[in-house]
Amino acid sequence: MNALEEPSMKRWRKPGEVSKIVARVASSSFSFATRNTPVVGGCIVL
Amino acid sequence: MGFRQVVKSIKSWRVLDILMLKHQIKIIKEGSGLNKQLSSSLSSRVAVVTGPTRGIGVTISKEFAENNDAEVVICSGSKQRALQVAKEISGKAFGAKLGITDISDVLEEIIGVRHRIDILVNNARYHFNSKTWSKIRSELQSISEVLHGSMRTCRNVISTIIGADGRTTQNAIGGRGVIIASTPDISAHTQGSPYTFAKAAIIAMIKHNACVHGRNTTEAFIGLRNIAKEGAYNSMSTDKK
Repeated sequence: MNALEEPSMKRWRKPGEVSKIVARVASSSFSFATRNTPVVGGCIVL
Repeated sequence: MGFRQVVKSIKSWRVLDILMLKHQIKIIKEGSGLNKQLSSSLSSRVAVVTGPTRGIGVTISKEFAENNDAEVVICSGSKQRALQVAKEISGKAFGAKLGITDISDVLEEIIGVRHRIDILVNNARYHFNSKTWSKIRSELQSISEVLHGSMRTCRNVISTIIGADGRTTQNAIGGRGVIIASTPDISAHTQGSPYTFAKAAIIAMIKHNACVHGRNTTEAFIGLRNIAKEGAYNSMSTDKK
C-alpha cells in the first residue's frame, strides 16, 4: 500500500496546522478530554 | 404600492440592516473573546517543549510564546541550539539542555527560575533510517529507544507538574501533557512490522500516561500522529515517488 495513493487533501501540512492544535489542547479548552490520539494527517490514514 | 408603503418598507429594511449589523458585531466580539480566552488560559504558563529545534517544535514554541504569552522552555540535547532557537522567538522563550538519560538537571534549572511547570509538549520524533529499515531487529531497537526516552521524559516532567517530586516551590495546580508522536518518515513505508509496532506503542504510551497520572491532574494526553509532511515524501525511494 502506498500512502500517497490514498485519497487525501493532496498537500502537506502547514506548520501552524499542528501548533495551533497543540496550543488548544494545552489550554483549558480540553479540560475533560484525555487519552485521545487524534490524527493530523490530511486524510492520510494508515 | 403607495409612497407611504415604500417608505415604510425602506425603514423596516434599515432596521433589519441595523439588527444584522449588530448581530455580526456580536459574532465578531464573541470570536475575539474566544481567542482572548485561549490566550489568557496559557498566559504566563510555563511550557516545556522537547525536540523544538526544528520543524513542528519551533512552530509550537512560537505559538505558545508569541501568540499565547506563555513561558516556553526549549529543551534540546544541544544547549547551544536551544539557546539559538530561543533567541529567534519573540516572547518569553528560554533554552535548556535536555539530558539523554537523566533530565533531573534541567528540571532543577527550570524550577529554580520558573518555580513550576504547567505544560509538557513532548515532541518525540522517530527518524527513518534506510540503512536499518531492512533489518527489523535494528529498526525495532531504534523505535524502542525513542519511545523509552519519551516515557522517561513524561514520567519525570509530569511528576514535577503535579508536585509529586518535591521540586515545585509553588503550589502545583496540575497541568497538561501533549505528546506529539510524529512518525511521518516511516508512514510512507507501510510494509513491515516496525511501523505497526511504533504506531501501537505510541498509542499505548499515551494511554498509559493518562492512566497513571490522569487522576491527579487535568492532563490531556493527546498524540498527534501520522502528521503528513514533506519529510515522508522525501524519505521514499525514487520509484515510489
